[in-house]
Amino acid sequence: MADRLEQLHRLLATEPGDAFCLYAMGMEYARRGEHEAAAAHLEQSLVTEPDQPYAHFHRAQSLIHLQRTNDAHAAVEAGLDIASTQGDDKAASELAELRASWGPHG
Amino acid sequence: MTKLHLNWPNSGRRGVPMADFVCITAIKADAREPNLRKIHSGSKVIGRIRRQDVDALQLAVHDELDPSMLDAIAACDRRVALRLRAIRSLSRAAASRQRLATRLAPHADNFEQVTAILDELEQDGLLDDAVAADQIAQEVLRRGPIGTYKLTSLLRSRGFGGDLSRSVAAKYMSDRDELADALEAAGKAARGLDRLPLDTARRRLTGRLARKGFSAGVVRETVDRTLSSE
Repeated sequence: MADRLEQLHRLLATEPGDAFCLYAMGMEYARRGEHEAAAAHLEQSLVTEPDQPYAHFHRAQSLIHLQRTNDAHAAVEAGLDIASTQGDDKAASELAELRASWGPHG
Repeated sequence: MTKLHLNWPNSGRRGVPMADFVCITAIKADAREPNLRKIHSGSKVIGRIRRQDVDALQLAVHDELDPSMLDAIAACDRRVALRLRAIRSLSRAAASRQRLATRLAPHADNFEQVTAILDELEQDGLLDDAVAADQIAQEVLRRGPIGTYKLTSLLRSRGFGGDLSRSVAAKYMSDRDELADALEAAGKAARGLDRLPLDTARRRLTGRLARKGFSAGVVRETVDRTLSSE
């Protein structure tokens, strides 16, 4: 069976540090429930290309799975800052919804 | 095509018309991609091109570049950018060679450039229709049950050949119970039909299941079981 993750590794090897490839790998790891690797790849993606509100969004989701609540909240705040700077209302509302879904003690 | 017009580096000729040619001040390896070289003219990078292109164009530091050479470097640079676009497209989602060609075409200088990039990706094992069709079939089936016909036609619509589409669909559907899949699909498809006359409900459910690609016999049996149980 073809492995998407293996292919993403090969794609990343040809463009090391590319924010798009790192983001895609983060998403694939998250889909598999491997949140440690997901958060790490999304963080790397953000190092290369910081202005990605959705990378913060998905990283925050993985961090919540890892019970790193403070880091998850910080990720959402960072994403909200970028979304408001970019005027990306959709990303801002989704980040706000995510934060609200955690509740006051999330 | 945008022609590069740069001031001579450190010429101090501020306010005078730009020169028609530039001088290479450095050729540096790209930190992220060892096969790429950045061609510098003063503080500007005038191209990010493959090492073999540097050799083919016989570029060296202190070379003065006339407009035709700048055009050649720009073409190599666009080729690198096109390959990066292809890599990013494949990282977003698996794609057939045909689909990727369609995505790259608007950004390429010509069709030969697209073909060359696709051939290169295939040689590097990054583009493979059989692998991509497999991945897309898995992804589609993860979203919910569908019939063999639907999976086949969906793969064909994504640019895979008929034989490959049929064989991948057969591979994934052979160990599935089509009737069980159709009954599962009918659970959602039958929503709201209970308020309709039986004939209308039958017709609509039949259409909905047929559009999901289930075979005629399976659709008939599923409709009978679903509507008789309501």
